[in-house]
Amino acid sequence: MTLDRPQRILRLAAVAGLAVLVVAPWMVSLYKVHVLNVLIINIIMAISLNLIMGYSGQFAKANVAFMGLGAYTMGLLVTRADWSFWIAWPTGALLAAAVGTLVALPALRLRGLYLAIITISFVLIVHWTFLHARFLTGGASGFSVPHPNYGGLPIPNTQATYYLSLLTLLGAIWMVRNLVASGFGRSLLCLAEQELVAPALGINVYATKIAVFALSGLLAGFAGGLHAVTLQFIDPQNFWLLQLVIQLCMVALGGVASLLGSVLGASIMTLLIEVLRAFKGLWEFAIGAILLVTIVFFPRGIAGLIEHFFPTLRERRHRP
Amino acid sequence: MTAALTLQGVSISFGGILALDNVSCEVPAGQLRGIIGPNGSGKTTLLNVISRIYPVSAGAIRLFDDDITRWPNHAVARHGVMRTYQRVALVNQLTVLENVMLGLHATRTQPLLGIAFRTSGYRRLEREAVDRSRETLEFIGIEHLADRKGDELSGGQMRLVEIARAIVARPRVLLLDEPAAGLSLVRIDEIAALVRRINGELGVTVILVEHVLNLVMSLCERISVLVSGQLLVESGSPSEVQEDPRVREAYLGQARARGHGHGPGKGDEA
Repeated sequence: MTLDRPQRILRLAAVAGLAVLVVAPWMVSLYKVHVLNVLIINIIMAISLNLIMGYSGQFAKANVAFMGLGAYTMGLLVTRADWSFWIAWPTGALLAAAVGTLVALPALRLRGLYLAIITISFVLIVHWTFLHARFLTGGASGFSVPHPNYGGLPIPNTQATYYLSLLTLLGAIWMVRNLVASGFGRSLLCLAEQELVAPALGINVYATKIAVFALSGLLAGFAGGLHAVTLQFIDPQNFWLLQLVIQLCMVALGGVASLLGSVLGASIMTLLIEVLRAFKGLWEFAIGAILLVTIVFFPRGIAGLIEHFFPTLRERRHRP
Repeated sequence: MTAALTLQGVSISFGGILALDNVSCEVPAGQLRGIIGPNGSGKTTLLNVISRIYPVSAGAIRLFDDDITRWPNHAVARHGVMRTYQRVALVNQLTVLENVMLGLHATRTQPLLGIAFRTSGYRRLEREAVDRSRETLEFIGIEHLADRKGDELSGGQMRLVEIARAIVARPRVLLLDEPAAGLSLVRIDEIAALVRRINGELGVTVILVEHVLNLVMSLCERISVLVSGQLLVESGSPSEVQEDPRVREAYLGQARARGHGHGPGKGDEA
């Protein structure tokens, strides 16, 4: 396949961005490595949320709870049951995926605002449980999580965890890119735009919704485990409505139903919050302003603008 | 001759209003059947019942040898019943080609793990889907639209794409819900020729619900007339239907009720 100019530039930018992320841990301060690590995890979360909200158009907002379940499961298994991180981490992600399928059940019947209310309530319940099951979770004070055991890897733990996040992100992008450019991806878009037509095309709406919730939960669960070992600490405040709003903002700013949008939205939001952190109260204001301006003036986000000016950069929905 | 579709005493009511009242009819395989009737007589409801969008209140529906009355709606599509809509229902985020590929979902489900890891088996399925969809666009003569987005088309083009999506998987029964609505006369002729080819060359049983009576009369071998949820004529030839006084009364009666001031014999809509 021959690429036209915008496509070549985008590919070049992606390679350059990846190269920067690969060498960055050795060029910048440890704190900045930490920020970049959080940025990578936020991209995974934005992709996870975009799968449900953007691609399949379901107004479900439970992802921050899936992330918390992934983090707490991993953390508790490692600290209380002495499991290895390498088993506890995927276990947490699988549990988040399983819970995702449960949350999908109301989505089979409810739509729009009602689904939003149910899933936000779910976030509240999960958060309440983290906060009040003190004997297990340490309540509001949270608990510490050790670094994963990287065996004989000859690099410091902070960098190792950073690379683990980066690899996870690349795997997630590769897999989701495959999924959205397939019959599965096309049926998700059909659900979003023409839910009543989908079954008449042979699409099993129930199975498709359950699959996308499980997938989204799985990604969020993996992101949660990474988040815990990056911070080396688990605290219920990290899985609270504010994080949910920030993640919604990433998806809206970047663009719904777009992987490029998730990457850009999450990156911009993370860096913006970091820059504005010094000015108390300012970044919350900035988030609100960005969300408002995006929704009013360019509802399809940055990715929508890019596609408008460079149609060949449209995300592919078939890739034989 | 085998029956492609059999309805036995099908009734459906919405909040006490009987939208279909004990409808029984049989459509032989390979037939091009027209369904006409005044506004609100239940034509679209009948299609929705066949494609299992609505569950029936009573009666049974058979597709060839299968009783599909209680099947989940996606299963009916997978067994070869495809349809179009009065209000065109394309996915605007997809290109024309990809919209047509959606129609293959019914018969070629791609395994999720295969997709995620792009196995060779999945890639072959996807290649076939692209090829089949392009062939279908060529069959209809709109291959030049393949890379347009759904919302960049004219109304007539949208209808053709929707028909392409419905026939790409070679359905056994095709349900067309007013394919000529809102089209110019030239476009209507094109649609008529296309429906004839789908029925003749592809051998698809077609059920055509339509308001443009000329189209139905010239196209369909047999016609059913639905009035107030009841089948007035189960199956008649175009001339029989045109001469049936009850059919004339049904259409005229409606015109009179609307206060158009047509006396009997005048305002011949039928």
